[in-house]
Formats: sequence, structure tokens, C-alpha cells
Amino acid sequence: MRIIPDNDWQTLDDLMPELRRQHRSTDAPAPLELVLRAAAESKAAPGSLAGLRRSRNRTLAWGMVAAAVVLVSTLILAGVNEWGPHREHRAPSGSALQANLPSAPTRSPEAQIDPAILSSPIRAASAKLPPRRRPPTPSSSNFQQAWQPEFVALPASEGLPKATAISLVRMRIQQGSLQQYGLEVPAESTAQTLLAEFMVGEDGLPRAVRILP
Amino acid sequence: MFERFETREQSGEAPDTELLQAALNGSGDAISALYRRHGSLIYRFTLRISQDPGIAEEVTQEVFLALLNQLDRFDPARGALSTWLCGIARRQLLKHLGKFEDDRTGGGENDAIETESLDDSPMTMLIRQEAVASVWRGLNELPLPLREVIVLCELEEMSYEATATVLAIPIGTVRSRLHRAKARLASQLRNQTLCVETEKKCG
Repeated sequence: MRIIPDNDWQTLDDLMPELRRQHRSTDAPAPLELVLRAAAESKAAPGSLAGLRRSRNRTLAWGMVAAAVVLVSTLILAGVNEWGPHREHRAPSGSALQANLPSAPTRSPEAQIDPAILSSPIRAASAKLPPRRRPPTPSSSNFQQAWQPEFVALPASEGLPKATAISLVRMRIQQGSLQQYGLEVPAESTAQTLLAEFMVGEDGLPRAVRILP
Repeated sequence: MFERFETREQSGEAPDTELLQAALNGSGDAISALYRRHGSLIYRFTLRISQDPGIAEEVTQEVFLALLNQLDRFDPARGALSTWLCGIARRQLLKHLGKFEDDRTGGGENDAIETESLDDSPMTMLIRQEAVASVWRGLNELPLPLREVIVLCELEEMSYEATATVLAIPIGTVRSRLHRAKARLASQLRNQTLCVETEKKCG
């Protein structure tokens, strides 16, 4: 008995409706519909063509911000940012105070405060704070090695509103550029460059810095 | 040759373009409607080519997420949405197949195939089941270029033109590949016939 007709092509065409019926009996997975619905509804900007991609980027950005906040919180808890302000020992040029100050490693925070600065409300409030650690003052030409790898609050950032979001910005700068943030830099080192990492608030202003090796 | 349709009957339903715009505006109902309309086609196509439900599901999701993200690349004047989605699915699928080629296993449709026949004869039903199973086996063993043509042209009844767009090949190539694919399947049927006849003689 011949099972399949001689004309195999005709047989194939005869079987095709059955194959098509079986093929089309397969439906797409229902759970995917929920996933896509959620994806469409999570689009932030109506009409946006890349809403999902932006949403992922937004999530990533918020994750980075959260990580930065956690980092800052950890530093605060560890007491790393308890260093005192440094603007006080940047006395005005020609001031007798700077000439009379003891050598850098033995100076206490209170001894570095200019009385004129102390008269300001902000400085007076700072002066009431307990003594703080501060990084060793660079007294040699090897300025970069004198710094410890922890973050140091920038004197120039005092009085700024508390940052709610922190970004880390790493850059190579001239050591002399640190003076604009209220840090002391030996005159012979101002032209040298170093790798610094700044904590920058959401307003774009730096709050702290650390020198990287 | 079977009658071919460029698009499916969608009378009384919102056009794809309206649903797309609504989906872009954050409408979950719109993307659900689009998924219900085209999702099965994409899933079946990717499943038939990859023979792996996991890959098919993943690719289907990627295709519809791409639909949300890259809708500006869709030009209705160049073809139907289903054609455009199939093209995306094929590209995504080829990436997956390249990545997981070593892990793939064939024969996803060979396990249990149920057929229906108007003929009440059990022998005829059995013969037909064997023939259908044989064609499925042959289809799963086809080389990828031939398999995707027969899936789109025969199983999905996509037009030659739309198939050529999906596969990014000339229409003539679609015809020639379809002919070769059907020739192989017919050959598979012929071998099946010989096997059955041999078994009957031996039995």
C-alpha cells in the first residue's frame, strides 16, 4: 500500500494547512504583555521616542547619586570630614598674624583663626566647634605627597547650602588652582599638576577635595 | 499556491499608527493591543527559527521594547508594522543564535503533535500525523535561510515582498529559497514513505 501519494509536492501542499494550524496555535507569552504595559506606562515624557532608554539612564543617574550620598554619609560617620576650615590661616597679605603663626604641623585650629574673620557670624559659629583634625600643611615642594587620600572640606565651600546630591569629579589641575578654594599651596609648587577628586554639589560648587596619588 | 495577504483583517480595530502614538504617550492599553495583534507572529517566528522558547520569549520582548524606543525609524510607507517587527526580530534572533549556537537543541516540535482530520479512519489519521510530524522534523532540520523563508511565506502566509523586506533579500531569492525549502520537505516526505513501506513489509 502506498502511504503517501507519488506527487510529494502535492502532498506537502495538502499538509500545509494542518502545519499552519498547528503553527498558529502558538500564542505569545501572556506575561510579556504585562511587562510591556509597565514599560509603556513608565515612560516619563509623553511622546518621547526614547523614553525607556532615558528612564534607564535616569535610574542609573539616581543610583549614582544615591551611591554618592551613601559615600558622603559614610565619610561623615567615620569622622573624616571633621577637619576644620582652612581659610583662617590664609591671612591677608602683609598680616602680622601669618608671620607670627607657629610652624604648620604644630598649629591648632583655634590658633589659625584670624580675629577679623572670627568677627563674622559664620566664622564665629565655626569657632565654637570642637577642635578638628586637618591634613598636614604642605611645607615642602612635595605638596602632593603631603596630602592624605581622604576628602578635605574646602574652606571656600563654607556658607554654602548643604548639598543633597554629590557628584565626584576627577581632574588633573595645577596645584596653584587649589588656592581659589582656600587651600594653601607652597609658592614653589603652584606650577605642578596633580590629580584631584572633587565632591561637587548639585549646584555645581565643590564641597571637598582629595588628592589622588 | 496559497492565497497571500499583505495584512490581516483588522476591521473595527484601531490602526497600528494610532496605537503606536498612544503607546508613545504612555498608554498601556495601546501597547497591549499591539502586542496581542503582532506578538504571536513575532513569538512564533522566533520560536520556529530558534527552536528555543526562552530565546523566542526574550527576543519578542526585545522587539517590542525596541518598538517603544525606536519608533521614529518605522516608516509606514515602506511596509506594514508586522514586517518591520519581523525584521527587528530576525536581527535580534541572529544575535542570540550567534551567542547561544552551541547551546541550542533541535526538535522542539517533534515531541507531541496532535492532528485533526475530517476522515474518521484511524489509519488515515495516523498516516497524516506521521506525515505532519515528518514535515516538522524536516522543517526543523532545514538550514536557517530556508527555514525562515518557509516559516514566513507558508506558515505565516506573508507575501513575497514582505518576506523579502524582513530578510533583506531580493524577491527572486525568496522564491528560489522557498522552492528549495519545499523540495527538501517533499524529499523528507518521500523518505518517510519509504520508511513506512519498509516497516510494513518487514512487519
